Amino acid sequence: MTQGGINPAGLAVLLPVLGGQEQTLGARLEALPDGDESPFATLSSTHFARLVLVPGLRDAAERVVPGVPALLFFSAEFDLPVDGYLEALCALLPPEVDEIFELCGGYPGAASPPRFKRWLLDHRVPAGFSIQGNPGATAGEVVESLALRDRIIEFAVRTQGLEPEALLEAWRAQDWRNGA
Amino acid sequence: MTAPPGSPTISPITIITPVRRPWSWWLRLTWPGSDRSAFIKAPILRLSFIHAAHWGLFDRIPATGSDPLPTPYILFQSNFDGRAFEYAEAFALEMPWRIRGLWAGAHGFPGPNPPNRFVRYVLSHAVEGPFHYYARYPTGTVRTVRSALALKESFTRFERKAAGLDADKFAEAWREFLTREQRNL
Amino acid sequence: MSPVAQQDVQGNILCGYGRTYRHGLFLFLRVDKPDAARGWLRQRLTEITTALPWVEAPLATLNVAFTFEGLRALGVAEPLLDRFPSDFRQGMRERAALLGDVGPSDPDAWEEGLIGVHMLVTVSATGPEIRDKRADELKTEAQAHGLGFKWAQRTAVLGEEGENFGFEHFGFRDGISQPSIRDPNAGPWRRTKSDVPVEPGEFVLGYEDEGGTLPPAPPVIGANGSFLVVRKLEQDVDGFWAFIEEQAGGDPDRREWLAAKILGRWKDGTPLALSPDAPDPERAEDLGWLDDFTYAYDPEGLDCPIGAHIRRTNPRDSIDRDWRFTNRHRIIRRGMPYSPDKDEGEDKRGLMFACYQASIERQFEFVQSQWCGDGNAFGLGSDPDFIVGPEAGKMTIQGRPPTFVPMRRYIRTRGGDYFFAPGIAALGQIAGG
Repeated sequence: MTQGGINPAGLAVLLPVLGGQEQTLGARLEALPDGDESPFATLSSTHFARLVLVPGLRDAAERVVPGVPALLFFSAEFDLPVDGYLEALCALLPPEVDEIFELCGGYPGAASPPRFKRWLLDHRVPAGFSIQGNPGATAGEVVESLALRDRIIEFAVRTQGLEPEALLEAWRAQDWRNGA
Repeated sequence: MTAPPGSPTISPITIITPVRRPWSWWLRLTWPGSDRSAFIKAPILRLSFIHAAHWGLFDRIPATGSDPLPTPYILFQSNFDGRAFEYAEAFALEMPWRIRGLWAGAHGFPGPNPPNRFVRYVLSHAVEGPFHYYARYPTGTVRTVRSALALKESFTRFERKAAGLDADKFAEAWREFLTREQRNL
Repeated sequence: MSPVAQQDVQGNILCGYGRTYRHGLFLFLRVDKPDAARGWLRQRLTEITTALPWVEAPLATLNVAFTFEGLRALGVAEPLLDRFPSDFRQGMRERAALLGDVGPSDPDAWEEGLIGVHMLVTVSATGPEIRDKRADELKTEAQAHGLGFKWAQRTAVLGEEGENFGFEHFGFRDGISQPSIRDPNAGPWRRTKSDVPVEPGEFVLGYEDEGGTLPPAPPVIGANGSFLVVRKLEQDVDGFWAFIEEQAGGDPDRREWLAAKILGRWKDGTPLALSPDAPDPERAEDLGWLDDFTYAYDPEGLDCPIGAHIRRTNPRDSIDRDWRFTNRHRIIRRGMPYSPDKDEGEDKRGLMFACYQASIERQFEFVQSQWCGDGNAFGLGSDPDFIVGPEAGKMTIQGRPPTFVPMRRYIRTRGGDYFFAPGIAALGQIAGG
């Protein structure tokens, strides 16, 4: 396993939504494509990412706290140090995410990476206590290992019961890094 | 191999709970040590369905220059396998005192027992509404990822050992490899 | 803890009717004329078999259950309907993907008689003539009371009269294991030494469940009711055994071994956990022995494979020693095999699977999708259960070396639904309109 792996603290950011833009922001969130089409798929160091509309806060008596705007919660788990991830995010910022951030207060746009980074870090809620299930592995290592596991299983099932010569022949014919 | 329908995909949950101010001070004081404690984290890791989870505190909306909020909040977010109900219940059943250690000072916290009440409390504070979630390996559960990573290391060693073996010796070595790694396959 | 009000709970939920009742009927009906249908229910109220112990055993029992649309068709008020959980409200058809009902099991291919059902009337009888007589009577009554006929499925325990457990069509003894109920009157208290009893609230609404509170239930008509899942599962018996034969390379001993490893029991019910190398027909006559085992001693699955059917559907102490996680996902099974029946237009064989629980999502659906549809809970990756899981991946039979069995599916879902079996007082409310 290479050095590095997932950043233990991740990133959690609370961004105030501009007045009156809550519905528009919600609609843009729901319009984002899923899976490999997700805007976060372009950042290969991302393990997980989310954008969540928080409609407001409730107090101890479950009442809406007045004066608190809707918030956009952005969080991500990634391999790089936070600075590196935010620089990559800025450089590759998908337009759909730009259109969501622009509905948040103080958004400087992505033209200036230092300002973009500063804006997100200023809104950070630092993690006090964290759990990482597989701390040592980068996103790429996880994906590669899962694919290799699938290939090993397929080979084991397919070659079960073969005589030694046939088994060795199948082994030599197998491309372990890129599939059959 | 494509995961069959119904496989547990990785899910997000975001929970925001108001807490008593002295409790927030206590958490700020104790979290650094807890975060470094393998003893405290061990049973949580043993549950084997949390990919990444974080607990944080805020008592004002960051960087807005606004007044402090009437009460501080714990911001909890997790990326986990399965469904929220089972996730919360597993916490309640397996680590009641760790739950207390995190949420005892939260307003309305019912305690970890009975589990149903804790689950209802947790789910009632989960943020519902529009969201977007991305997972790089959406069906790679914690257990499967651990298996895959361990298998990769073991397989790399096997490949080196297998080079140059004749058919009979290779077949024997392959059988030994499968026997050793069957729990990762 | 209040004891279960047996007089208000329908029979066959917490305590089965027993193997004397070897002949069953599942009568699927629609509510075409609500007033007339409610009138029929009112007439039948005193005949509904309850959970009270019998003074004199009847020749045939009678029970009823309703789908969500059935309750609505009978005029149950919307505010009450809204209090039913979403799994029941949606019905099985809407949740088919979660259950792995895709391809040949897709709802688009379900039997017409099992779609759009409102009411299920079940009969358990001591003989086929009694069952058939009841079936004819009920069909006639239904027609006269605005209840449209959808389908009648006759079922029967396979095997010899007098045997304690019957067989299912693949040839395995079935129905051996059921939860013990932590209520000495209402159900089996402790069936074996190793068993950990389950709170009655896991199966009947209005009682504390394993999570320490009352499960969600609609007011007025929820108490003493239970959710019933019914699925018609067609079995390709020839296909199953042809595949096993092929995998076993034609060796008859290996064929029996392979099938036992897939199930977790030998054909006569001998559990692998107690006898991994061969069946034990003598001890298999001892009902207590057949179900008195655990898995924690065998974490590697070398006796009973970790992915074996019975180990998945009831993991016992293999998740935690106290069965706490297991006992949150138990079901009470009350199904019965069906066979080709020219009179009823049935040309296939299989199992009318039926199970009771307080929460369909947390119990039946969880077992079907998480424990059988996938292997992650057991550290088996995405390996599904060979018997009811999807056709994807493989099963590993742990061993030195392991054996891999490619997944094939020999079960086809022909239809079914989620029902609610109300308590007797609730039935009266529903019938009252």
